[in-house]
Amino acid sequence: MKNIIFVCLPKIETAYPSGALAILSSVAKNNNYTVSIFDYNLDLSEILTESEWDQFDSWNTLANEHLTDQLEQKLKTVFINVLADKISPHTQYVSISVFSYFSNRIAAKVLGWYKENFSIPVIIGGSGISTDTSPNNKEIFGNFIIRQQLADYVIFGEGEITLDQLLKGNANYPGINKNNPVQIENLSELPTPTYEYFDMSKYKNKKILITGSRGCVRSCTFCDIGLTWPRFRYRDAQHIVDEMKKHFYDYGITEFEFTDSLINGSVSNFYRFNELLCEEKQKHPELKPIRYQGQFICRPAQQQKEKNYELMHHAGCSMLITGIESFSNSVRTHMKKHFSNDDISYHLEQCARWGIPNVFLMIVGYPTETQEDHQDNLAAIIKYKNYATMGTIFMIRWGFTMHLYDHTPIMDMIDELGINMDQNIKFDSVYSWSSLTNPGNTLRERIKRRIEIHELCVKLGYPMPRVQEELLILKTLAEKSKELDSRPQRKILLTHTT
Amino acid sequence: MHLVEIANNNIFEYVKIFVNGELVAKDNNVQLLIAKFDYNLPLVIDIEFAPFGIKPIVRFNNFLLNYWLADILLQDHKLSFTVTEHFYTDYKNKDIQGRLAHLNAEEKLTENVLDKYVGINNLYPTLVDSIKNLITK
Repeated sequence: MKNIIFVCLPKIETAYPSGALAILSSVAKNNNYTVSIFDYNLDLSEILTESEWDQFDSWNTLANEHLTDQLEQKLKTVFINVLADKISPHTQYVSISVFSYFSNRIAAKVLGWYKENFSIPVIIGGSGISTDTSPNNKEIFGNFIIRQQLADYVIFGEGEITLDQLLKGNANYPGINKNNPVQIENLSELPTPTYEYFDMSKYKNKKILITGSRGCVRSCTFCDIGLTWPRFRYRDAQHIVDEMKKHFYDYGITEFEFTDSLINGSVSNFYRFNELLCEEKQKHPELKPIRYQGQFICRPAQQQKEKNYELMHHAGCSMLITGIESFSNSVRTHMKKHFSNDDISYHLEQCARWGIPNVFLMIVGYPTETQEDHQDNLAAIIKYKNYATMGTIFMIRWGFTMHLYDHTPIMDMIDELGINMDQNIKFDSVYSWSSLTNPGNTLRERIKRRIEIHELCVKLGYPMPRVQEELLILKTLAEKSKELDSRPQRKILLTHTT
Repeated sequence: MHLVEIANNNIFEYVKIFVNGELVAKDNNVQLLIAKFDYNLPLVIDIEFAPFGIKPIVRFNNFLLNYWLADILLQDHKLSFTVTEHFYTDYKNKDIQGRLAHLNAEEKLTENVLDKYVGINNLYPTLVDSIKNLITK
């Protein structure tokens, strides 16, 4: 019996298993492969000390340049030893999953160690493959791997059908060793993810990831999702409910987290999904504990009627992660968010009525944000205080101030907005830009606004997670901003990467 | 003005809302009953209903109430809760207690954990002042 080993790279959530590997396991199973899972992410989280894990995370996410030799050796030893244990005479492929840009560094290391120690063909894929190699190396990571001959097969884009074709011997399928992937048209035709090869007892939460759609129906100026999935596609509602039921009956899973960029991209399909889940719960009361959460887009009230919220409540919607971004109409209009302040009020009112908590994601200092827009933010924080008290705004996250990412639509508006990035404080993106069309919006001003918002939110009792981490980054930005003022025209990087 | 709503997926044979012992709304064969009233706090709210043994949705001033957080006492044929001037604060504090209960016991007391996972008690005034100094000087 042929065998394939799937490797999950850090750092991703350790409390529940990788959804990507679960669906790829299904693909392999359908091709008569047995599957072994090597959750390197989870193994490292258990083996490394807290300080080592933090050091590793900081290096992997580009905040820190160096790993100590000792830690690197430990990472290598774990990788080689665990993988060696999993390899059998039947193993045909080792397949490595690179979840995002923030796994590229460890992926490059792992491929090097693999090449030194093993000879079984290696496949690598995942979102990170199609991103830049690093902040200072704009070569697409997958191309870098091919050029360096670090893997036998590099899979660009979505992996399910491509892996299926590769396992069937079709190594010329688009997306294999060439950055020309074909986007999957019908998500409902993909196999149902299987967790039979995972040791589910190792995961703390009885929760798994589920995919209802890929891509987005918006083209928000600050977001690069269009790079990964140019078009929005969704699964049939019945298909999603069937998958939830399967995982409930097979593994007792009651918590589902959607991987979608937005769970209500198709209002009608989302409505149908909630309706079906409610019906299933009525028919099979044992399904009642099932709950779900996901990213959500606030929509105009006429598109998201009260019945939708009522169904979400009865279906078990336990949390929405909602990209509000700004409480200013004009800022959101420029962002192309397509909803108004009245729509936000309506959304909150409905969520309060149906007990649906939200995590609001916000951006301070968008390029068009004026002092007046900032005042809109402060006024809304005061206006919506009761929603924070009663848990409708379960948490709010204000981030590090607006930073500019490559491959986002706003980078095509640089001329229009008069954006200057010459004085470049760069982390994984550019923080220190200025705008000729909105000259008051300097990095210092953005930090000032961010601090004002922080103080007001704390005063009014808004839960805000990871504030210390965010403030420390803001402090670093403030220090660099001061350096920039004394040394104009120089580029200052928060990190130097190869 | 205050607003109390009680709703159920199936029809109530009868439902009555009492505030401080006084009947403020009643109806038969409905799924929803709303009472608007203008009483001073504290409010002792009792809602009687049939059929017995159900767990209806309860809203106070348009917020769906979690039974545990709002200290709603549910009996076979009625439910009761009290709204004092501290109602919202008490509700929130209990919510925070619930969030803390999800953390590992040994983690609960550290400031870092409260910040990271619950998002409270995190003004960090020294850090904030140092940032302010950097951007104003």
